[in-house]
Amino acid sequence: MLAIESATIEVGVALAGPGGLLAALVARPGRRHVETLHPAIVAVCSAASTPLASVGAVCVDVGPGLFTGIRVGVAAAKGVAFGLGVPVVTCTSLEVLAEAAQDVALTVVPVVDMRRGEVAWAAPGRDMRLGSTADLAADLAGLEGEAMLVGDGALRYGVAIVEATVALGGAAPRISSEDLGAPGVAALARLGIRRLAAGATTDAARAEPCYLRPPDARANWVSRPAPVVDVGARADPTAVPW
Amino acid sequence: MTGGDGLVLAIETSCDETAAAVVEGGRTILSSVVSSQVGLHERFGGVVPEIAGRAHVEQIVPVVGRALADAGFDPTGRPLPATGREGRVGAVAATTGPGLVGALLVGVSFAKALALAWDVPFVGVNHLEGHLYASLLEEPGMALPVVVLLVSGGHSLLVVMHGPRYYEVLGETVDDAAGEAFDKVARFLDLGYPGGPAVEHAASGGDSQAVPLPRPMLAEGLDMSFSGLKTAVVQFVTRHPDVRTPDVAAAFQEAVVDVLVHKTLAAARAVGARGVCLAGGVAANGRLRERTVEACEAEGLPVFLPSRAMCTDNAAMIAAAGHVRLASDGSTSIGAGAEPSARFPVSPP
Repeated sequence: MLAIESATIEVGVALAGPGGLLAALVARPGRRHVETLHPAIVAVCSAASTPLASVGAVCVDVGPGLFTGIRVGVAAAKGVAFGLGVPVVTCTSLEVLAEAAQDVALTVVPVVDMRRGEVAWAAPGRDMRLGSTADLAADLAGLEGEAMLVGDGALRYGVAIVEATVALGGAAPRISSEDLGAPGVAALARLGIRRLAAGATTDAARAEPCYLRPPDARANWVSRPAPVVDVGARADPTAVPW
Repeated sequence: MTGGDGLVLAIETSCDETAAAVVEGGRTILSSVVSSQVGLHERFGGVVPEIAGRAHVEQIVPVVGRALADAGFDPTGRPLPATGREGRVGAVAATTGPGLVGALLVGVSFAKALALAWDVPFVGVNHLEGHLYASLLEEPGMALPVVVLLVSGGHSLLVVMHGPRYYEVLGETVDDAAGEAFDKVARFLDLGYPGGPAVEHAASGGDSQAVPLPRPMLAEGLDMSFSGLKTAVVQFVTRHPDVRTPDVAAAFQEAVVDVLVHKTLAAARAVGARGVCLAGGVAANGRLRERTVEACEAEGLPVFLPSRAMCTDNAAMIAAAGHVRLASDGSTSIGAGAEPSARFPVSPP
């Protein structure tokens, strides 16, 4: 199985089988997801001495997270799965974050930074939610036991979330270290292999991103290049080989 | 480069159309599928980038699957048994720019991944260069050099094509694109979206002489300007609130067409062109087509008007341009990204 993680500022690619990881690569490309992801697929196949054509499923993190990164990852997963005629396994970034923190003994709450002062989170046994850190704190204050927050939303807003939760009479949640800040491709692959074994797959056409927020409905005129100031001397057309 | 038959699958997602096509040998269109999002953007009076990006993700697999099936191929790029064909699709091309970045990324990411899955070359194509090949697909015998007026919602260019991959930009808009002016005037006059067809429809019942409008930069070289014309429309209607909307639409359309036809003929004379052709969405405008033919015939200049389907964004033209690009430059790096502000590719001979 090929695993593709590009829902945050990281890009991760892994090849995994029932026995575990065969090869993995993680990069922090800034926002250059589309420039980084495909060469990483080539590199991981090469490192595992496995041709891409032998892959039997594609697993992808569908978000929530960076819209651009999610689209690049889901489009690539669709391209590989469609072209090879293999199924797609989808996982949300919150599920991957929780999977990565499986060894944590506390109640794990994954929190993704959604920008504009909002976060997405999933309290155990509940649906994903999108809201302010105050909304998250209200959820946390109602939790039984001590919570550990993981994900980039926890790292960015940790102090505010802890203060708001305590102010509401809840126990102060712990904030994870940075290694649980981004959904890792190894955790994605592990979760994907389990889902594939359980038959929880979809196909390339149906795999969809999880944005959690309606589109910004702002019309924009198509960008165009700056005007040419000087087109330069005209070359001799007769010199062209046909 | 592209296998025995030179079969190229191309994907175009630069703006609000998700399109895919299979073209053989850069010339023969085996299939061309276009899924328009116009209904999604209509109520905003323009293309909403985030909505466009999301719609491309939803549409890409059905559109590519349909283009392959229509051409007689399965999703792995191999011919369907019933077709009796042998060669498989030999390359995947995609528009890399210019266009909306969030829209371009979907096509580029999908196309590169498909090329990897099929183990065939990926080739990135400049959208504007693609428009030049729309005419060549329909009229392969066109004598060169040919002057192409490329006018759309995002671009207004005059290009001379000397040969494959050998072009020069002769003139360009210094502000709004012609199609952008149509959209903005349509929005101001409350005519609907997209603006080109809406203005044309309204203009059909109007008198273009009834409203005096300027012809910007008419005598100033081959560059163009449409922003001031749009402002002139707004000012005239504000001062004359009783003016008939069809007259305003007709006068505006006539002013744009006057400028475009005048500049195109001037460009053709300047480079000694052996023909003129139109490209881009605005080239579907009936008045522009009519006036271009009249003007070219008056000068004895051959003129080619692509079908309306070839004027607007499609992937067949991207496949044709990709075929030429692959032959001249080889495949594009799998690490290529989108280039939302790509310029027209002017390459030396």
